[in-house]
Amino acid sequence: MPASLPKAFQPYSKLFNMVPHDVVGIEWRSDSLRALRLKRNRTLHLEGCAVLRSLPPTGEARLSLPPHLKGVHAGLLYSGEDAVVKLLTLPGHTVLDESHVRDAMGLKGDDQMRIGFQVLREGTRRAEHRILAASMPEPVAAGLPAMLADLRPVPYTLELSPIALLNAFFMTQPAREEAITGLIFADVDYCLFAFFRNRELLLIRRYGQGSAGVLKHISHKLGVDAQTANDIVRSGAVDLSAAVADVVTPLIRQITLSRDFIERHANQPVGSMFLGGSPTVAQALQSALQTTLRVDCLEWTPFEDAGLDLSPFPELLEQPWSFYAAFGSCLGILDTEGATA
Amino acid sequence: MKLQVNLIRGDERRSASPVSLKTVGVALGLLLLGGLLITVGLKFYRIAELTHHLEQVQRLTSDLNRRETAEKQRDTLLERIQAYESELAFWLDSAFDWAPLLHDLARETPAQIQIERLRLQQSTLDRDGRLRRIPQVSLQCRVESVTPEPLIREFHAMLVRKSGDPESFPEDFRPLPGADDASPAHGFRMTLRFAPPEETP
Repeated sequence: MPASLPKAFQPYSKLFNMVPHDVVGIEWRSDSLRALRLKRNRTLHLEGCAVLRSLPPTGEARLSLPPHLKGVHAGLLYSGEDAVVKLLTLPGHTVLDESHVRDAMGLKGDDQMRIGFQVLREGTRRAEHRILAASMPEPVAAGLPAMLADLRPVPYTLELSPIALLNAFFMTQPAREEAITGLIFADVDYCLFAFFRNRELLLIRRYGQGSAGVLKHISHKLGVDAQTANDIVRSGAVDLSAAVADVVTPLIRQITLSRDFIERHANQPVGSMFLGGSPTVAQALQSALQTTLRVDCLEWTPFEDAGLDLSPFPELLEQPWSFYAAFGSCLGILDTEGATA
Repeated sequence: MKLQVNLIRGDERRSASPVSLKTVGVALGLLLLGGLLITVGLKFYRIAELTHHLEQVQRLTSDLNRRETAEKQRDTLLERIQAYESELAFWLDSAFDWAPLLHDLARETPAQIQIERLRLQQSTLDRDGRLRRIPQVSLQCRVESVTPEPLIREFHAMLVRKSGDPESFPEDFRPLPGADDASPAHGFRMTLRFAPPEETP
């Protein structure tokens, strides 16, 4: 791996593009593809971003990126419903190999699911292993890298969007030792919430309804089509809090339960909550959380936190949250000093 | 610390470099292997060349040894031939010319003296590692005279002049059987040695 290159050879690594320095993150979403190119010389530079036409992630079609997005390495992201992210706790004596993790994920004997994991905390005889595990369908996992057939970019990582989102949060937020931090992110197809303590991931949950589900519920409730529902939401002319509440209430309940569990387990209160994602859901969540959890929610803006200038990129100014996962993937690839499972 | 669960497999990754490290590695490996093979090949060629040269030198040495042996045999033969030649030359050089003596004997022997037996011989003498032939003439004579002594002395003197051997004397002077005072007959013998031809000044 490039990270393990001896120091004497590191000056030559750029010659062979061994250490990534020009990365494009590509996220397969249900509605579109989101691509964001990030370069690192001494500092980070945003080179471009684009919303691309959706392609089935089966490997049959070829993805050709616009020239301004052709980085050297690519981080591929998948956020389908069939992708699973789990935070596992295994006994300290367990051998950390794929078969044990597959068993722990309940995928024993399922060859149609590809799994991977990252050891967050190595266990001992008295302490348990803490593992972040992910799985996705094998046809998709094999198909996504095959779609990048051009000379550049070359596939470098294949991740799940929720983990890339968490990484974006991880790498743009300073460590808060004093209290537990929470993150809630509302995407199109799902909502994600997680709790951290001093950069240690304590809990992660994925809720299967996102802004698309909310719009669908609104259109159904108002008896209009999806486009009209979207326009209504954008205009803010109609009070939709009741319709949105139908969708987000179960999520609020889950967040509340999880918050209580974490506080009891860690014997420490949740100090701050960050909220990001689709405004359709995020706004409803913000008011509901302030009422329910009695915690002020801060807006999570990773691009600003990383000191990037978004003004040259209108797509980013319009929907910055839709590129967070791609941004997190790029940050993870460019962070060559970090640990990769 | 980052959060990253990478699900991509090694065979799904490609090199981002136009010249991949793997290609460079393989090329370097092939170059090294080629260089090694060439070096080994050159060494083997050099060994074969030296072996061939050694065989040539061994053949040459063997030929030279054979020729040396033949030369030594020829030298030995030559030495023997030279020895024969030398000996033959010696014999040729030391051959004594009896003809003048026999001519003088035939012409100057007194009529009263009859040479009954004449023996011409040459004996060899090794002096200081050199062979010499000593010519020697032995005479057995009969003299019929009342006064044989003067005849014998004159005959002896004539032979001494010829031979240069002052130490020879007539010997075994005796009356012969059947002789009487009317016709006295005596016999005597005489041996004279001549100087070797090579010592002749």
